[in-house]
Amino acid sequence: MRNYMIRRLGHSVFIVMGLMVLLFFAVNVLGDPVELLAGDDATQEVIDAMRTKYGLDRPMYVRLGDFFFNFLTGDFDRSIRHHIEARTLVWDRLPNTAALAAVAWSIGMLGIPIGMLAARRPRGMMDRTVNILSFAVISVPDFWLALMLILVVAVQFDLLPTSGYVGLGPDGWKYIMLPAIALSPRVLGRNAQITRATMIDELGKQYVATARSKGLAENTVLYTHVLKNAAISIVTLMGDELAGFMNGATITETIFAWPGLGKLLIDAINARDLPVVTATVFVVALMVMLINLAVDLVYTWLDPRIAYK
Amino acid sequence: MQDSTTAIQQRANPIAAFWQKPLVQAFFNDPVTLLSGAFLGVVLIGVLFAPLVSPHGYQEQQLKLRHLAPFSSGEAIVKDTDARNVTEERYYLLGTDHLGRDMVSRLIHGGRISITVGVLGVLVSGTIGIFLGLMAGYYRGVVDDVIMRAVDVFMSVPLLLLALMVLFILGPSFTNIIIVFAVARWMLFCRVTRGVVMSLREQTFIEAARAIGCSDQRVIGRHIIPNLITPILTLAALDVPRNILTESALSFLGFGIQPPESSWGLMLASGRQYITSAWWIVVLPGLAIFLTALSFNLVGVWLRAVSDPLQRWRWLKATKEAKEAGVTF
Repeated sequence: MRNYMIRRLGHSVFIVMGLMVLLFFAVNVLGDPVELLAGDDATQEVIDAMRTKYGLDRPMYVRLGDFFFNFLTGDFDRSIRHHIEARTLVWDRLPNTAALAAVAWSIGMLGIPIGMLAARRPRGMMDRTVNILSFAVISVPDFWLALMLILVVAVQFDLLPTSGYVGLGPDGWKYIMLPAIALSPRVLGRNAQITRATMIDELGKQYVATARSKGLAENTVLYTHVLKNAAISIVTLMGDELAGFMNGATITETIFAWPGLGKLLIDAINARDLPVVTATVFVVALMVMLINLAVDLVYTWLDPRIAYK
Repeated sequence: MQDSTTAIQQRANPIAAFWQKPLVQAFFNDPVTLLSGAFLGVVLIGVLFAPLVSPHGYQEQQLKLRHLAPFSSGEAIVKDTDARNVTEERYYLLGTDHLGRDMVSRLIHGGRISITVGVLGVLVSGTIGIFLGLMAGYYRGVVDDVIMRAVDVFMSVPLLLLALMVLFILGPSFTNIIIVFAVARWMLFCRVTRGVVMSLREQTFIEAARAIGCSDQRVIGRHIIPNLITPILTLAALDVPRNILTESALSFLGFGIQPPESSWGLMLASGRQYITSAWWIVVLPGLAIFLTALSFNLVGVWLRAVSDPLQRWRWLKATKEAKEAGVTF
């Protein structure tokens, strides 16, 4: 177990390092940071001045070392647009995205009982319906769903505000509902699918036949035996989905003017604010890595065999 | 005797033989898959022959006919053979957008870009992923380590973030979107390929091929790649809708396809401000994306089910039952 933990942590550290190399390569080799900052209509003098100012006239390996050192100390330079540390901006926005993801994730959890319901009779009417619906909800473009929600719920029926943000206090729930609903379908659908698939898979195994033949009630078989074994796949997916929220968050936050990391990223790209762009991508990837680490640890707790593989 | 007669008949009539294949029958017996397949067929025909099937020019503006509701007609101003302006009564099946452009033609042409991006993205990322997966799974050792660690790193960045980062650096364009998919989706194909190759490597027929002196290229080309076709095809069918959705999201945010070209995502973005007055500009492209993605997903999942021996019997059994019940098609 200890060896496994050490190996797993080493793996995470490696991923962070790899990520930094990837980011450095993307910014400095694929593009030219000065051009990204200065825009298309900058004169040569401006470009040269900026190159010296940001230390971009130094050799590549010095800059790579610098880049590593700064990232490890959490220093992403100042935002070009807001003139404060990019780190501060990212940390301020992080709780908003986390709150949005948490609400959407809770809605997505409904997929688990739906998937279980479908698995009771494979290829029955319920199962077919759930199967098609689960694919329908993951095929909906999230920005379209967001606009439809605004059109119907906010404009037509005036139930919730169209967009905005009043903090995460007690009044905040009104503003978080629509973006969270717009963000949840993919998780909902995938939770239903994976629960259904693993449950059907588990139900075909011999221990289920044993449990049934000794006279256990069907519900006991389902909830105490099968669900426990199916939990491993479901937990993996949930970690995956938490990470995937960043995809949808970029869009829903932009549409609902929700001040989270996704909106920060889009605004930074539009303002050519390179430090904020790299800081956001890095911090999000770091979060994803931590979530995956947590999932792997929950895993070994659910199924101790994994640690010995 | 019976068998040999059928065999002869089948040889004589390849079309009939095709219809009698269990997979083909399973496809036609499953209404959902059949419907999705048919929808995709219609979309593909529209996309392939876009200039022929669009009723009007997709960039032709009729500013007097802005925001025309679906199922209505209006007087369009067109040039006659002597370049004089004349009016012409036109029927707009799905209405017009904020510049008086025909929605049907725009949907067809927008779909052309969306679907091309989806398919081309899969082809490029698939090729890279399969190649690296083959290398990793077949040669193992250091090559495997390096490739799989790269997979881990790329997997740690959410798709849209990676895409936005790349487009921020390279600038938005059609080619760069394809590059985005190559960068952001190769890992999936790499993982699947590697998994299949690693399980095949241990099997005796590969060992036998190597024992009689086949070169690596021959073993891979003749014995491994044919076994990869089904899993890769399934993955590809499920990845096309994902790419279509991502492309539309990127175009919606303004980092994808640029005007005057059009994709479904871009149509949606440009109609966004008219959502309360002309809902069809926003609803229709969204529906197009949704139905296309759904059809690809349903066909993909069917493909996965019938190619999996454990699941296949359910579908084939359903076919047999349908036949016994006298269902004809």
